[in-house]
Amino acid sequence: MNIGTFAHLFKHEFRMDIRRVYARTWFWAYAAVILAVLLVALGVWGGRRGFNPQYLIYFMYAFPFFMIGVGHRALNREWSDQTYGWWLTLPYSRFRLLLAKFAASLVQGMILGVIAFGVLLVLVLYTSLLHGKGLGEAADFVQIELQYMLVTAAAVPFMTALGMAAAIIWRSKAKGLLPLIWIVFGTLGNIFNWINLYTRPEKSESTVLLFQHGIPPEVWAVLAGMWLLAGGLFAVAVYICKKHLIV
Amino acid sequence: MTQSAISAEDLCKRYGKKIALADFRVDIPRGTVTAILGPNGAGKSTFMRMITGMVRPDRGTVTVLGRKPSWKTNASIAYLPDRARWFGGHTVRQAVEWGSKLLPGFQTDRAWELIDMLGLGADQEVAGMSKGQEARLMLAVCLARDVPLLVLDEPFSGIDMLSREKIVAALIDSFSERSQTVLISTHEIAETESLFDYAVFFAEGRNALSGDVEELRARRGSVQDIYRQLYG
Amino acid sequence: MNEIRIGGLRFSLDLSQPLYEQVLEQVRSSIAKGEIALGEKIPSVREMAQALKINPNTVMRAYQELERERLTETRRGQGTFITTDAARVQEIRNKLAEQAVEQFLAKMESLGFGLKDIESMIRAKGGVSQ
Repeated sequence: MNIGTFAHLFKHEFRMDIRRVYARTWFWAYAAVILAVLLVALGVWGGRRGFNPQYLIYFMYAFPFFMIGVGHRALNREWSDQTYGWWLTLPYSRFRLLLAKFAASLVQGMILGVIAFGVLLVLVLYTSLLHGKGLGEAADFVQIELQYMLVTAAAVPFMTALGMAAAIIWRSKAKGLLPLIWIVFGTLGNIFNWINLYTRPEKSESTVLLFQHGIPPEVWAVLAGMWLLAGGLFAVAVYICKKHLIV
Repeated sequence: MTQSAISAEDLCKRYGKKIALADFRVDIPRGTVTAILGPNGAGKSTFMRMITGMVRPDRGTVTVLGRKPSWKTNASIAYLPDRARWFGGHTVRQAVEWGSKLLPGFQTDRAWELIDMLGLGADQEVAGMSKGQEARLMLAVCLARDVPLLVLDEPFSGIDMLSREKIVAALIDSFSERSQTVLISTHEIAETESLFDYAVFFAEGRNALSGDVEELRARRGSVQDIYRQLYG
Repeated sequence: MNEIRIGGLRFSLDLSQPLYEQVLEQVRSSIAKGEIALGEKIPSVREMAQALKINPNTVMRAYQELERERLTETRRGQGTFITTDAARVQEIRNKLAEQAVEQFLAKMESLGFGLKDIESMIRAKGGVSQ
């Protein structure tokens, strides 16, 4: 594989996604509005008893679902923009073409994830300081974030590949597999809930920590497993793109 | 006998009930500018998509430049897809960069020459372009490539007259510049028939007639006349 | 197709007949008529193709034939020029005239007119615009 052209493919994919969403003013307008609402709400109700600002972490439950969208859009864009003719006839293997999209989506995910966790940390700090609680909560929150980051990192490649696979299957003779995708989407997307269930016996009600006593070794195995599954799903997408696409 | 640029034998393709190609056969000589003609749905686009490996035949074989169609062969083919758009986020300059980085045989100087000839500006944004301007840009990207085969699927479709004239002039310039095998499918026969060396008439997925255009003129009249004879 | 003028030459192309022959004949005719002078430069293949809006290959074939007939000569780096050989041009004029006469006679014959009738007709028309 020529590293040079892959880099260019990657850059192209990345640039296309950036322009499509993040360069649009409405995206930032929405983000600003949501942030403003949160700041106000936290300011008003953040000091109440029983409100733990660490609950903000629950926002991250949505992140894996969001990544399905990113993966899906990376592929679907070629059809919605009517550029699939150029894309499919590029002198590069389907594997390389899809890998560029996958990589660009993952990098997007990483950047957005970091931003998301960063914003949440800032909001927790803001709430704590505003209501005179000191830095202790924020320090604890970092621990929580680290655990959630781990789970997110496990889930994101798989969910991204799922989105891409869904997009490809929709345009192929394997359309019948789509319900299967929905099932996987529904079950695995809720990964955070599954983990909570798994660690439920030990957990007390008042904490949002996923793993009470440090990270059990099984988690690393699951992470590796999820990444392997992601690779497998990606391979399925490449296979369908090579042999069964309907154009 | 000189090797054909493209040869097809017993090519068949159907989409559900619709038959796109039925035992299609053709031999397109190298170095010719070939017209791919016929009414909508006659199989022209399907044939061009097969040449570039986008579509696989159900049966039969097609050989392009002596090889099977694949992404590897596409390194030698400059293809303008039908009903294609260019990447909305690009400027003309970025389009040229895209071409130079990803398309084998892309000549940047030639690209700029063509862009100038076609009346486009380096910093023009694709998002703000008219259909005709976008068509001209896409053509420039294809013509800028020094490759053995050029495949243009309906480059004139829905394009204003002035853009069409510019495109014809750019094509003639390109043909003067280098020897390529060129396939053009079009409905604008009156404006373009004088460009063609060879012609293939599609009808219901079959090769209704094909041959050297000058010979056809001697035997049967202009390409327009022949079109009327076959489909009228 | 309408008449197109380029570089002293005049063309009127009929798409229902082979173009190569038409280009060739019309260039020959222009030379014979003196519409383009001896030794004068004619447009390049590319320019001609652009003006006539036809495939450069067709123009190239015609140019090659003209060169073979010694009606034109190509000078490297400078372009293509009409021959300076006046005798050659005269030869062509004569040849075209002969062809015209042949065609005329054949047509008259097919209409049923003999040589005597033709002679008197010509005399009657006489003093044809000189």
